[in-house]
Amino acid sequence: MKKLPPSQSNSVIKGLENIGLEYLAYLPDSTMKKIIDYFDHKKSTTLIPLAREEEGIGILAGLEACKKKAVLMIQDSGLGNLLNSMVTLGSLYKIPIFIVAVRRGGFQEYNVANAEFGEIATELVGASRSMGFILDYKVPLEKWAYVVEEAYNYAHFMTKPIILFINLKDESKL
Amino acid sequence: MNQNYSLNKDTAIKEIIKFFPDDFKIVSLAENARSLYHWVKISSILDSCFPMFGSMGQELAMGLGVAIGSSNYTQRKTLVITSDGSFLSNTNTLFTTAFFKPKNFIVILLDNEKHMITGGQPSASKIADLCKFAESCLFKSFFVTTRQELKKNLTLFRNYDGPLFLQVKINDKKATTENISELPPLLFFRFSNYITQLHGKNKKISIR
Repeated sequence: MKKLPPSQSNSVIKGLENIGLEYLAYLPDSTMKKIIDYFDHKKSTTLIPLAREEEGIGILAGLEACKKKAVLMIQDSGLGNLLNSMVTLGSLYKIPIFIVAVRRGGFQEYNVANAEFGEIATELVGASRSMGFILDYKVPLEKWAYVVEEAYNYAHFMTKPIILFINLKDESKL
Repeated sequence: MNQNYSLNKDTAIKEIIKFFPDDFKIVSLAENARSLYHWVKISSILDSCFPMFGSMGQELAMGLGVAIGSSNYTQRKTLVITSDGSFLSNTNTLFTTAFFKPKNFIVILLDNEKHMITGGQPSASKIADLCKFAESCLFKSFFVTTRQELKKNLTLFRNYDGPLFLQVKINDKKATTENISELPPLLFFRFSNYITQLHGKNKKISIR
């Protein structure tokens, strides 16, 4: 892997590279564009553009059945769409599913609907009895790649869906 | 009772597993799951089958995942056996399938034009042309109403490249079913092992 300058997106890329990512299923989001573009140019990773968040759960369950390394990347404002599948497929069958949810809402957000949902997103994870971790300005950038990798490993250790919330918006002034 | 069609679910499922005994089969929830479970158990091919307890419509997405994930190490096909209610709840996945056009992917829709399990409320499959819809998502589509047509199409499907879509019109005769008493994690573990044993990635998975 070529050396990337330090940034939130590059740290996530490094973490996903360390996993040996084979499939990246995603719903489009402007803040994760750099990550999607990076893996789009990588031959060993297949991108799966989704129409809805919940089908990401089904597709990742199928890929996991084949022992493929995959991540589902969504906006946290789309988390509500996948809750049923995450619980009745991922949790019920104890399938390791690694979900990266980019934070909408909070600092630097410009869309009030995203902000409204973003405020309850982490609570939904708790209510669904799934596990969530947060990467934002409170975590030093040099630890981000390690956290991404460990969150993926933890989903497989616990054999259940894990959601990693990441804030890719510019937080350099915070 | 919907007597418009001569085929019933039992007959359709028995024919499907007869033609595709070793291939990967993901089946939608409720009666479909319990019926397929019954017939694959009798045929001693339980390992090849993954039944859904919930996640309505996600059998299509999971099937797509298995089709993509297994295509580089096996010639086996991935079959999704779904119902009209379940299919209509997750048509998104057909659009996603269009990106990949997996040759090993077959969707079989057992269509009784009703939500039988909840009391027989009508589904839109009676009105909408689902074969045309599947074709618009780059599937090759087929439509059958009799056992002979079903057998003929399943024979062809063994050698056709996918993605393939088969709409099977059935009556609403109650299918033979069996309660799935096995724990869901065991079903996934066994299905995954069945797939991955084909490429030597058969790692042990611990079940907690």
